[in-house]
Amino acid sequence: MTSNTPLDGFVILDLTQFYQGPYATMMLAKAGADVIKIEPPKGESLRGMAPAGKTGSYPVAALNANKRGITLDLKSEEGQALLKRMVLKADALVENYSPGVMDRLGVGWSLLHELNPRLVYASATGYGLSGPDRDNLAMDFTIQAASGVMSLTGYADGPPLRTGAPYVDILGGAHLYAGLMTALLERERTGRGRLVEVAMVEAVFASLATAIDQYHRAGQKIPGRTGNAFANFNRAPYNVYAAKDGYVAIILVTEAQWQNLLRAMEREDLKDDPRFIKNDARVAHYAETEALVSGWTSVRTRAEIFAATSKFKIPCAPVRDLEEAMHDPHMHGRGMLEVVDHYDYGPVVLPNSPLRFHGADKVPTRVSPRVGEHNDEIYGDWLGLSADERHRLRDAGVI
Amino acid sequence: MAMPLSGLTVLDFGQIFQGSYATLLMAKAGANVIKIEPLGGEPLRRRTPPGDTTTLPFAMLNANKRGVTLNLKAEKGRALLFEMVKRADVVLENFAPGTMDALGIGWSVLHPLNSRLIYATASGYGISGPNRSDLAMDLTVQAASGIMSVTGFADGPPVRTGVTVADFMGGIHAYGAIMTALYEREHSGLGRLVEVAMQEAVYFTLAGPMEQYRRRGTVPPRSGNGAGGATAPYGVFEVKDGYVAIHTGTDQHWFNILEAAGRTDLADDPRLQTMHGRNQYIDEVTEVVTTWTSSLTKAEIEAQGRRFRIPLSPVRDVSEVMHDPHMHERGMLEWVDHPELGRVVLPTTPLRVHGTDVAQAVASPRVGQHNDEIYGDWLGHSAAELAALRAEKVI
Repeated sequence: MTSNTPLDGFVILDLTQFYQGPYATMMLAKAGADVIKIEPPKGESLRGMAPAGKTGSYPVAALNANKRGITLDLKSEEGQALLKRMVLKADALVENYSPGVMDRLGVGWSLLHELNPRLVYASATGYGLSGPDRDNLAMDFTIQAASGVMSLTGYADGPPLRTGAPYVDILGGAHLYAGLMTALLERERTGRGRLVEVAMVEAVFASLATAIDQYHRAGQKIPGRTGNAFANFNRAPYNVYAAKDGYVAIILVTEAQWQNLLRAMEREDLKDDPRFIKNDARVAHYAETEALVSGWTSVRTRAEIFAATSKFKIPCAPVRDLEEAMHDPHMHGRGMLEVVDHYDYGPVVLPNSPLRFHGADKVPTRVSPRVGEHNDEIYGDWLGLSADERHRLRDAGVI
Repeated sequence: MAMPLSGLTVLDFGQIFQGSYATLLMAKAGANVIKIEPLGGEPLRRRTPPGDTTTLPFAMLNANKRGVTLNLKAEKGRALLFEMVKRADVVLENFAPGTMDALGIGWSVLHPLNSRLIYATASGYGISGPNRSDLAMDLTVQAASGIMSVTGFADGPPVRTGVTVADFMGGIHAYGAIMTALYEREHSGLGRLVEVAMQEAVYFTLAGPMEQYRRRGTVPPRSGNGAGGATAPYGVFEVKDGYVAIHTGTDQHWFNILEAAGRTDLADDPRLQTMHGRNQYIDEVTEVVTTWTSSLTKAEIEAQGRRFRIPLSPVRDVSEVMHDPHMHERGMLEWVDHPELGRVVLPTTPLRVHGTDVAQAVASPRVGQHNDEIYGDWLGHSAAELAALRAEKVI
């Protein structure tokens, strides 16, 4: 392990599963922490979604890189005892079970805190550890509905629409990381750990800011869905426009950008046209404005459009598909993406952490562990259990 | 009050959403956040409707901060910044890459003034790489990052997520990076330059779709509200007064739906025991679900979801979310009397550190509201000096 990393020497017991929790602990591992992923003997739930014959999947590989993996049956008394032994040697425990699960197993915060008062205990759930909705079952999809996001996505004449990327899980995970680090920083002053809690439905709330603004301005009128247009259609141009080979997103923020767009489109003849002179006017002539822009984009490629908008400093981006995102030369150039040889996949593009600490060493990438891959290392070398003892625990199904 | 970040001083150049969200959460955790704006106020203030002096997003994202004005293009302005930097723990900015360097106040200048300073920069594409200077807004990052390409219907265009995804993802990552560097500083004694790019902050959201892409070998079509055959039933269904989203995560959830729908006669149907089977007979499955959902209201189906253990949620609108009894009871949302907006619902913080206090709500500052407090009381400039700085349009 390198020493010039922010979280060098920090030991995490990672009981997380699926996306939200593993995302937080992945970032801890990439920042140099020693993350021990503790799974049920059959592996965590996300592994169950692997295709036949495989042990992993892209999400497993991406979210669990740089972790060591062990198995542990938390439903057994011996398993609980082993967890407590590890808690004595750890800085933090992270879990995203439903509220109350850890307490029922006899390894909840209050008990572990007594065992190790310096332990930071981080919990991530859909609705939080308190309140009337605490026990509602939560998935990214249902939280998109509950948090209001879905009501704002899609078209006015269609149903609410799911965001195809489960960003609520990842957003919750990023908040979990943030909360955990806050408590860890405080511990450096106070010497005491804390229970830290993040609820997905709350992590999403601030991202409704623009819709909340529209709602407030319109005298408590609910904003409708507007497809790719700005809330209440009150900005133009602001949309996704068809190009010859796909789509581009164009958004204007200043009036200077409109003049620049006219230059890019070689339509400077319209620069004083009262229909388009200010955003208000363009909104009043919405269809004409949109037709003007889409007429220009539809006969050009994304690259041609982007070259022109870049030249004239107009915010624009090609809509990239998954393949383009994975092979983005920019993120590869920056080291966010790299090609890693993975036992399930062979060479595969895997992400690093989006958190960059300049001057710190990059933690060399290790691929995600197989189920129980590091049982000997952790239970043997770290906890000091003999080979016979480990053998017995394995036979008893505890590890 | 015991607050995790008490004693921490943050110089906040955050503007619009991304940077301001990170520093809001610091303020709510007890940090002393000083929002530094150009003399006319930051861009988010310019979205204020005529006749008003602030907007709800501005009030949300800048609560519990003190506000000063500073002209960074003036030499005296930069000198004031240097005085503050020497006493601060964190500088955060989300200007376009290179802006602070061009003003002569970038990391390489500030770090020698205060080697303990954490300098955080949040941008669209990062401060290196070929796309560094591309203009980044939430909409364009949604497009460039690939997340827009997986939202919408197979026969339609890509659709933007109706909320600001990329900005807030970037903001919370910036917060996490800053805490990490502060923690490290406790041991190393040295600050760092930390960096977050929105495009990178959203990458992991594509992990699931990328798995589909890898399995197929080609980019999968957009699947609207469907799960692309991975699970069934799954989708957005009509109820009497709106919609409900249902995600059947396990076979047991299907049996729970049958019980709620009064269709336990289908529990033993051999065709419908597995996700695969239900996908094969999806029309029949959908018929069962819609017959059930369309007979209920949002409130009724939410109650059934709870009672029968089914992962579902009514699709809530903005008003329902702002007035959600759950988040109000938990203290995530609160009613605040704002001097400019009146009585409004504002969020506290989604980061709950149990046993600590959350800062009592303080309304977002007016432009330059705390100039005297910061430049006078904190930095020690006299009233006459402040008047001169004001006259010279430095503050």
